[in-house]
Amino acid sequence: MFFKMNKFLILFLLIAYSCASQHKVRELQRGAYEAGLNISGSYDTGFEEPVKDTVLLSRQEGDGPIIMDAVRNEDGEMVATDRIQAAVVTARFHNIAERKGKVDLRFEVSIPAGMQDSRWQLRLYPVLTVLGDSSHLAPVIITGKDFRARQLRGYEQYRKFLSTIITDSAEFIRIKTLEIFLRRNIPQLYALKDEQRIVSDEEFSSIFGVSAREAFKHYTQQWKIRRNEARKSRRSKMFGRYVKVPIITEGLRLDTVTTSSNGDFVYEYIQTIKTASGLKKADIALEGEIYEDDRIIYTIPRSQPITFYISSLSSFLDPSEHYMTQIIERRAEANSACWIDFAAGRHDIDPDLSHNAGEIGRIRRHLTSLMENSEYDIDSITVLASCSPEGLLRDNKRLSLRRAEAVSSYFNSYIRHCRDSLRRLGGAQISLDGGFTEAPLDIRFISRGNAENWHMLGKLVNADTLLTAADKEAFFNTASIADPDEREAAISRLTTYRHLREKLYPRLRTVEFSFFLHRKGMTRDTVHTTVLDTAYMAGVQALRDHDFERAIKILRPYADYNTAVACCAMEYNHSAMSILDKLPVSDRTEYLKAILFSRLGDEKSAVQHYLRSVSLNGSYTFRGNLDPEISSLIRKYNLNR
Amino acid sequence: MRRIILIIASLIASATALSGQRFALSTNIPDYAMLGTINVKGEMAFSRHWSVGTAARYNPWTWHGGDMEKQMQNRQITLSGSARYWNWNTYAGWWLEGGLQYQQYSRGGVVSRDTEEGDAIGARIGLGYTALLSRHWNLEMGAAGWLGRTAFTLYDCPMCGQTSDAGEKWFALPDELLLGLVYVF
Repeated sequence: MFFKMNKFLILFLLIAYSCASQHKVRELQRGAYEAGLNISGSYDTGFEEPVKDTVLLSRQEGDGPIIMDAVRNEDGEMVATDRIQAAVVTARFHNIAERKGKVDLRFEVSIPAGMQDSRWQLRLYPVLTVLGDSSHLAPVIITGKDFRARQLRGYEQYRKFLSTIITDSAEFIRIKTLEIFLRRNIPQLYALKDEQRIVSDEEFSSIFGVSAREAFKHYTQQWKIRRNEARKSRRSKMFGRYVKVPIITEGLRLDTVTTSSNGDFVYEYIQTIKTASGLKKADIALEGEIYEDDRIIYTIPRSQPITFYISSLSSFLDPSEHYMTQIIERRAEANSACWIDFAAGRHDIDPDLSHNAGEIGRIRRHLTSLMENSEYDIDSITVLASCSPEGLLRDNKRLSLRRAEAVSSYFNSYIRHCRDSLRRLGGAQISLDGGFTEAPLDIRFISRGNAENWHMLGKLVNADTLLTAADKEAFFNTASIADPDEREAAISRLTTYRHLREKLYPRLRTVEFSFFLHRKGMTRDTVHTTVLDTAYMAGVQALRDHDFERAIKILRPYADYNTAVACCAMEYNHSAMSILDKLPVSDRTEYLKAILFSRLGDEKSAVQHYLRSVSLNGSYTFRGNLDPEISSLIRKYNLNR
Repeated sequence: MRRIILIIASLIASATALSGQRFALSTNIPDYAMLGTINVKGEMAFSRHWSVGTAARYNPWTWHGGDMEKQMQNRQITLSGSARYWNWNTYAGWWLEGGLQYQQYSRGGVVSRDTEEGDAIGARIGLGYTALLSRHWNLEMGAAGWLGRTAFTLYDCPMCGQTSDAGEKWFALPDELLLGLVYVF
């Protein structure tokens, strides 16, 4: 009787137990509990009070029929009922700032106690929706105590199964019996049992022809081997049978075993994502499953998403086009030397004397080409005439100067003549914007005399192949004499004097022309071309794509505003500051400087620069709320009054 | 009696003299429990699967413990020769035995007072398994039975003279339950 009662009681309890779990599932399906997704309470939003939109829905006052719910009361009448529900909607959006190309999404996952059970395992997946793509983030798993106990039991059973698999192949042989057999029937082999040797069947067999190999095979338990192999092949199947829900160790954010489902479970989830161009917001929603044993008993539907609005410093970039700057020298020089012979002591140009005609022609051609040159204009020409050492120094000085002047005036008239004919042929040049001025008619000729060209004489003597070393040495001995006239006298006494005078002296009577030119139409020294600086634009595009490392790499040599923006985004604070200091003051630079000072800890300067940027552009008060460096200052010093 | 001992002794002697040919000597323990039957068997293996043997059993005892009413006996002289087929190798593993057996017996008083005496001759078959204990020792396990013809006399009690039956008949009886210790030379 007593046992009968107990049986009944046990049955009753079992039914009640399963009913309870069924009841719980039904409650979930009804929507009694919901997994919550909230902005982290502790996260800095930059405002004094936490941002909460509270919406109170209540019955509208006003005219007109109102349709309401109705129920029957005790008397059987239909009575209007009204359920005023205060629905509290917590903030579903949040502003976060991107730094160093990454952004932290922080949110809280809260599971009410009604959703937890010691027999269940909850798997919650945050779903990240970014740029139209959804992906599951690493799940948060809450395992009930009984559920985990069952998992571990399954692992234990599997381990026991694995332990029945024999790994030592020696266990398949009945070694003791085999040994007795060999000792009795093949004693010569048994005597070698401590040696290692390869034995042949013929050499070692019993008197009736049983070889050791046969004995070995006979005493191996083939059925054991077969059974072992069968077990090995069944391993994965047995794993699936014993361990219905394997314990996940990788690819999850958290797996916690709850000891009691009394309280809500709250987990702060932080996910760092890399930003990309066009990434302005990210949505996080929550969905999941509840497992009991290996069945999903309830699928948690996707919750309402939280939206993160991402602000980035790349919005500060300056998208204007940059052109290549080529540095083109305005000025140029051209040098030419010619040998115009003069009669001794004379300074007039005689075209018929020795090679003069050819030389003069050469210079003329040179001048013409320079004047016809479309790129350059001639600023001035310096004429340097030299004399040979014959004669007194002061005479030579005067002579060389006169010669230079003669050459200058000769070619000046030639140039003027040239110019006129050129103008007649080519016409006048007019520019429409008045930026072009015609070069002045007169080219300045600067005449200089280099009296006695000792320097060149020395060089010529050195290079002369007809003079012996002794001759050269003799010559250079005279070079030590200070007074040129004395020197000349000493030279005239040398044996090689005749050779010097006839061969080398004429080559000293040179006229050197130095042409100083400038590029036509250039008034400044550097020119900006219309060629787009593609490297720079690639850097700006990298900025736009939030690829700040690359942007800095490309833009660093330019060291301009966009470089500062990139450095600021990557938190290279001092580099950014040094660039911004050089730039003219604007609302943007002041704001960026405020951020930099805030990061460096100099709050006073940060506030100053921030206020200045706001005074230049009022909309920066709104931007200030988006950047945490500024928003903390706004909050602290109450700047946005 | 003397004749029996001589036979047994010669078997033992011949066994020790020719030990290189794989001789074995064994005795069956349950037989001793069958009212003290002394038994010995000599075997010789001459190929991998075959061996031949001769066995002798001798029981001269009459048990009464002082009480003539309770007399029981299993007196016999049994001689047999048999050949064994060994499935794996002689003196190891499963075997099947077949042979001839001659028995002079007088037994009775164990189950009932009826006592039978006579001469039996028949064919014997046996089946068993030999386990290797060590280099020289085996443990033999098995069972044997025999069938043949006997010339018998049936008495009413072990020490009576009154016969209830006599004649010749065919018989088929279990012979031995084997649990023998074997010494292999």
